[in-house]
Amino acid sequence: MVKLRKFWRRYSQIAFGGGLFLLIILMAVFAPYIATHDPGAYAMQDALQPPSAEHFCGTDAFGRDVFSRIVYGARISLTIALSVLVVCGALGTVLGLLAGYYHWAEVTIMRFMDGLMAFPSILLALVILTVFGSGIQNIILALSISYLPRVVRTIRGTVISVKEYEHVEAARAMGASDARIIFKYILPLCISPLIIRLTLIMALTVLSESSLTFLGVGLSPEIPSWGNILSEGRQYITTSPYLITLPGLAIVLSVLSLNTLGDGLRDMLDPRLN
Amino acid sequence: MINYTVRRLISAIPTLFIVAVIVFALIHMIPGNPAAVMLGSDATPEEIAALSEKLGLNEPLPVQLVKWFADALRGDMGDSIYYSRSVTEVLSERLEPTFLIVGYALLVAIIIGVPLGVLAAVNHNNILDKLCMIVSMIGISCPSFWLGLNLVILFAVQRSIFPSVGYVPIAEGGLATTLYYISLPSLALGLQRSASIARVTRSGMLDVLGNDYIRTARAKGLGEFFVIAKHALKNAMNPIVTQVGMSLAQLIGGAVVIETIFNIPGLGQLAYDSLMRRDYPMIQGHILFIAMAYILINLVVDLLYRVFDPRVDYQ
Amino acid sequence: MKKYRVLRLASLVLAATILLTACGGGGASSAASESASSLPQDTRVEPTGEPQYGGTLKVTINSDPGSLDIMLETSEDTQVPASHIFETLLSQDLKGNAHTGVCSYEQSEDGMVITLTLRDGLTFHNGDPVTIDDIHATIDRWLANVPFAQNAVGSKVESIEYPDDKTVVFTFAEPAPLALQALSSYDRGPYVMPKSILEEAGDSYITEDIGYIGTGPYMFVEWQADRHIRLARFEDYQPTDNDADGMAAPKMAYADEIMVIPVKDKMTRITGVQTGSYDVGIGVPSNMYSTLAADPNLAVVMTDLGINPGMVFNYIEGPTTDPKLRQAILACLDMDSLMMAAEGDPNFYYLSPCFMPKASAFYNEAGLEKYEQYDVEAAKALLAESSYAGETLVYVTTKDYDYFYKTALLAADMMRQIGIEVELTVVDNATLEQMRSDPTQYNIFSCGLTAKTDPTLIAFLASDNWAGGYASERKTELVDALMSTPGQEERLALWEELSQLLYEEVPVITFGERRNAVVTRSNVHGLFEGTKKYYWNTWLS
Repeated sequence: MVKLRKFWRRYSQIAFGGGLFLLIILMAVFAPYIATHDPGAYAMQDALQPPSAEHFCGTDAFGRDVFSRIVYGARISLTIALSVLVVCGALGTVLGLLAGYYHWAEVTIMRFMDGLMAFPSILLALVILTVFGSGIQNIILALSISYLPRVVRTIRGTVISVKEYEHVEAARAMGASDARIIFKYILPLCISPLIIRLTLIMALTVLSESSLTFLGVGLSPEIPSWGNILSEGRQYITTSPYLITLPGLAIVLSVLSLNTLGDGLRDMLDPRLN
Repeated sequence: MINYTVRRLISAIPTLFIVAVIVFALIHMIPGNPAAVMLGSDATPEEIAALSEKLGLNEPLPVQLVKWFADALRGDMGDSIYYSRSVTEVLSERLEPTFLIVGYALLVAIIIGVPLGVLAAVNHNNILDKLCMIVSMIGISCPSFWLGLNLVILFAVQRSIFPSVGYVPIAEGGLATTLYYISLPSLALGLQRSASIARVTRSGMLDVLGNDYIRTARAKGLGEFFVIAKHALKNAMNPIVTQVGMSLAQLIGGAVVIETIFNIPGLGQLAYDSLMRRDYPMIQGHILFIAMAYILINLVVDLLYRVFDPRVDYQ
Repeated sequence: MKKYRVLRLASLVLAATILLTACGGGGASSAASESASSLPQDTRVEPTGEPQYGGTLKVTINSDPGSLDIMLETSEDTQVPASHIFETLLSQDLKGNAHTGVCSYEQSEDGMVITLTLRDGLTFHNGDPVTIDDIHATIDRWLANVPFAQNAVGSKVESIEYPDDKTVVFTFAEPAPLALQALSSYDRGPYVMPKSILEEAGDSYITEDIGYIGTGPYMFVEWQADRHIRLARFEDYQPTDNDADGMAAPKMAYADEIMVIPVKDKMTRITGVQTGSYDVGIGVPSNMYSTLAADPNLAVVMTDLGINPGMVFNYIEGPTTDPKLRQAILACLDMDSLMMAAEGDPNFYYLSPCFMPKASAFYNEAGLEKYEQYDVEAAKALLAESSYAGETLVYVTTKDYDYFYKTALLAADMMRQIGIEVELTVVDNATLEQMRSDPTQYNIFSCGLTAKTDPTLIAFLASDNWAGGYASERKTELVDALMSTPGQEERLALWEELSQLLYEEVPVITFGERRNAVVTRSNVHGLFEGTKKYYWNTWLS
């Protein structure tokens, strides 16, 4: 009994955050089965209806079912968040390993990362999106570059401390190649901090994507992303406030799930911090 | 300490240099020509070419970069293409609202965040703690622009308590009017940040509360409030200060979206507008200015460490 | 994603149809159709009684202007505040006729001599009298910097003389039918400024440091960056005694002060009027009309916007240089659906084949049968005749302007229906302007042609080099004739011929003419007429 309680205390955050996030993933995957309406179907005679049994979250100015749009919006948000995770994770790990292991790489890479971190990431993303134009690929690119320094810093920090560990020193003394040392002895120890960092970056990605789209530089208006639903709904702030409130809740819930999951993982994987 | 400050400032120069190169490279990759934007859609190629020439946009990029650097080193960030005035002047006109909003928001964040964190730590592991942490976790997960819109719905549309848009400078209406006008945007930004301050305060306090000297203080019969405020909080201050510094930096970024929603004539709107206008010198100057602010904030945070923890040594 | 987009497009067309039938048939009694049917009436109640002086009028513009140098700047954000401060030599009514402004005028029988006489007793805002030297300096700077001035006056004039201290005589070497229009033009006309200021500024923009000093009904007080431009009534202003409408009507300056407030975001603008922060907001989305109209504190007024959304073809290279392909595209477009998609409500647009606004004397319906044909079979036949061989056409548009994007989305879909491959490239406005200046980068681009007072001012007619590069012998002939024929009747006939030509050569397609709703607080009266926004005769009750 005591054990169970301890277990629960330890994993409750992971269970809650992971569970919620899993639900959102399921919502995205099975969107066609969950959505009650076609998210793009116009029905002008039904425009701007408040939430009801027929339309759980009401309808927007074109009579589109907001609930269905939110459900499909999960696909967009998750696609972007997971892509940023992959790009940022892969690139950040490589650069971080290099910067941590080789002194020559450290100066160049870290200076560059300092430069990228020296102003707000949303501003950096804004500039990059203006360069390449809006669209899903470009927003992934912009956010990956914006968040790259955080990953690089995390990995580099770990590498520097791990480098001094005995088993790494021993391997080096036995003449193991750099590649072998990095991949066999150092990389595995970077996984935990990387996972924690990336989970939190996914949360940031969902937030930033909606902000950028809301500003009008993120995604084309025809894509039913949460940011777009919000910025369209903004016109009706005086008459139909639910068009703001409900899609916003979708953002809050997914960010909440990722933040909680990240926290839980940190408690589990990195006991020093607890 | 002065030595340390000077050293830190000098070491910031390469970072600023890199920021400048990154920004310069990026913005000149942006398609579009400021002359064409200024002349509007009826302009003929002849007119656009003539204006580009007048604005010095036809010089080779490296030449422009070198010129700009040379001037920037002398503190001259060039002239805004759109406003045909100096970048420094245009920036300085927009400092006040952003400065006030960020300051106000930070105050909101601290006033709400620190007590919430202390409350949670003192009630460690009971229901109040859980509640505080759930609230702050939700807070962190809210996009600030969405909070802003909800505040507009609640306090400007449904009840006209606060204005929904606009800004009145201090010189015109006095500080009280100004603060009244920026209340909603500042609250929107501040509430979001208060959550992360609360979390850091809590964990900082938990570290400290277990220490011997707190037990000693309690044993001496000092009042609980006194123990918390005087001994525990002061010693938990370092992580809080770091978090406040980070929050400050994030608030500057958050201002971009919030200023658009509330039509605040500040730095955030200027950044967005300048990008859309392809006002190259303005964007360069703007980002460099923000980068300098970031570096200063970090420095101040590091210097504050010593105030709260005299053991910190700035070699 | 792609499949989804097609779906959405199809539903967009469907929606447009549904709404149209709903409005036309009148069977459905939904909220949407009710609001639509109640649209044409303005909700304004004009109070009986005299206009009142006093108060501060808070009006909105889209963005902080770069400068208030109205002679050099072309953006509306500059024109709205600056046209209150500065005045042109002559003023212009809604039909484009010239009237007394800073000067009165006489034109000789044959039109070859125009004499301007400076009105007595006019002063600048700094108290200095307006002298012939100021007029001289104004005309010089105007001719040197404004292309329209050069085309309409400078290139045709034999001499400009200043015989005494209040007279200017323009003697023309060839007929100059546009001279009076140029002298009274709102867009980059000869705005009178003190000689000292013009000399200091030269060809550069006049800045606040040099001084914004004019002769207009309002004086420049202050400009707070991105926040407002404050104007105050000029007490020594002397209104004209013109019996005319529009901007030629006497300027009364009812409000004590006018605050011109830049508000980039359309929704912020409308919300600001709703909550009382602003008095006038322009650009009410059609779907908000009924909400705003129902609010007793607000009044909503329909105005003509004089903007023609459309598409411009690459006339220089690529498949679109084939007139048959352009005609095929014209034939496949359902203009009503396009305008409906852009504006969302039938009352927010006119279906019009003409490149001149409906309110203009130059409005005609030449080419109407081609404009409204919407015949997919005919389009396919034309396409088969053309040299088009399945190339992908790059159609560049931007979502910076909602109506660019929405019309392009739908037009591209209509083109695909007849078998044309279209790739829609969505960029921001600055990029669009860059791309369209390079003929290798596009085949078609979105445009919004703004209302002009004379056909020769329309961008693609005024120059062969404007984006798209429309050039043809017959075009040049007709435009030259328009530029040098004095009689109005003859000019109307020439324009009709040119309009017809535009439906044969199809360098540009217009989808229709946009209208606009302006929301004001209900105590705002005497709003501007026409497409130019001015507030000197607007008053508060």
